[in-house]
Amino acid sequence: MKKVSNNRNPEWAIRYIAGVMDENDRKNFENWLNISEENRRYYERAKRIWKHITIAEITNQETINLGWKKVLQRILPEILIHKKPILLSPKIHTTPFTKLAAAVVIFAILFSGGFFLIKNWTGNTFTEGIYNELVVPDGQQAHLLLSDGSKVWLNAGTRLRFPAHFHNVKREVWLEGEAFFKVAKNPKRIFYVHTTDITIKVVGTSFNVKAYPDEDMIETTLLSGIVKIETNDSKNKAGKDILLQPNHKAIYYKNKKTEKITEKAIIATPSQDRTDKFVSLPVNAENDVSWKEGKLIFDNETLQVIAKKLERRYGVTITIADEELKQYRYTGVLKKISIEQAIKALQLTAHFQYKITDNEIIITAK
Amino acid sequence: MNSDSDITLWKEVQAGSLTAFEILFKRYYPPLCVYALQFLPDSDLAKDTVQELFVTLWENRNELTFTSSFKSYLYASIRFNSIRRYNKKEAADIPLEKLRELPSKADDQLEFEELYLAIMETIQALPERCRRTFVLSRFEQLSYTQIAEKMNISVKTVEAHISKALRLIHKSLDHKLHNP
Repeated sequence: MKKVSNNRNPEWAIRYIAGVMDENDRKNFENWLNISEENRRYYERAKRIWKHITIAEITNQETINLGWKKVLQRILPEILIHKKPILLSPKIHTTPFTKLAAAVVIFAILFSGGFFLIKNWTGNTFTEGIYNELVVPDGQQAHLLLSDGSKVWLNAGTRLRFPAHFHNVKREVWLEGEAFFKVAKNPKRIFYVHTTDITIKVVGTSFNVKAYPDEDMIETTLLSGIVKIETNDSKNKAGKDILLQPNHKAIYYKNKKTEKITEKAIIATPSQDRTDKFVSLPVNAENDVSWKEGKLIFDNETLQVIAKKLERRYGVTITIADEELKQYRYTGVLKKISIEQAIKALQLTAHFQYKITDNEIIITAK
Repeated sequence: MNSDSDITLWKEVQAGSLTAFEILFKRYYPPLCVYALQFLPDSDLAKDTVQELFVTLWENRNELTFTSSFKSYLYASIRFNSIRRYNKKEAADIPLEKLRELPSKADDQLEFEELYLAIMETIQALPERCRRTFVLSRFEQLSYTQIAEKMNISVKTVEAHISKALRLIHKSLDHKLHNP
């Protein structure tokens, strides 16, 4: 190392800062420093960069992951409501309801044929941080096995984002739509289901989450074990968490107004736990997961609400051309039938006519 | 992971790939945070500024097309946003199109990158505790006793960390000298 003179050279700066320089070089460097303001500025900058890298703990993988997570939290709602599928997995294993007349066949395929594993989309070995996204269109359902052994059933019109492998201590998935989770027990690694407004934390339980973006509420129904639900709104965190007991349902109202609580919640027995936006009430939890057996259960629901469920289930569009009809209420169960059979069943108690063309159904008053 | 593929990755981002976006983020988050710290007083603010930029990038992915350097755009944006944030005089939002026209201050960016990479290489040769001890000693000008107190370790350990750090830095630089 002879000439310090002409160039600004990172290595000289590093040696000087670290103090690993022989006497001669050090003197040369100090002379060089005194030659100009510019040289000194360069050296000071090197020092500052060194200090900042350490202070910001920026070489830490954890720091980087935390930064990414913060970005993800901010862009996630945008992803969830995005129209075009994002990062769509190349293989989607779903079964259309509409195409199979004999619904029994569907469930033979879906539920007895083992689980579908979705390959990570890039197909390379860079596994850290690789996410899959499964998009289930209306009229279909899907079933998958996560890398930790947890099982997920996805209802129609649902999007689930999950890592190809759970690398972190946390097991995290992101949900838009409805899914039933059977989480493999692992007390050391909490399982998180993120939705736009709330986050559900469990260690190993079975529960159903309904979080469609076009609905006002997010419903979590617990079958067994225990789950903790937190709002994502960090500003209003205090007192807004809820611990859910088996056979209870927590309803979260996305739009603050509590008075907007629907008929269902008001009918329900006094809520066991209640905050501004959460209501929890005892339910027959099996009803809420009956969709995965192909059942549609209506509990004093209006035709308007039912139509929406049918739209999702069968991938059709239903227009109700009569205001009064929209408010007509039903209680009952529809099992593994075609859309036309379903409409016919509804017709039994209300007087309406319907017309089916392709995937469009128009219901009018008689 | 060469930088040539930035534009390829960005095109994937435009097609909606969150994974490509994650790769870009993880590639540039560390240097950009340190770069932001050239203009901002604390590291939380710097991190926040960089995160902010990536949120904006994602939200505007359809409008932003890069033909030359994605990286220079990032540096120029961080420079601009950090200065603006620090001064807070210009509260109004600057349209993205305007942002892109800013001078890239290419020399500044190059000088920074060169230093950053060299220092990063040196630092990464050190184990975590070693790294911290060294910085406390050289940059905060703390005595070994003060460092020992701060890090809750013995003075002997501090000494060991420092001498290990020096040895490793030396080795890393020599290695570089012989394998340029």
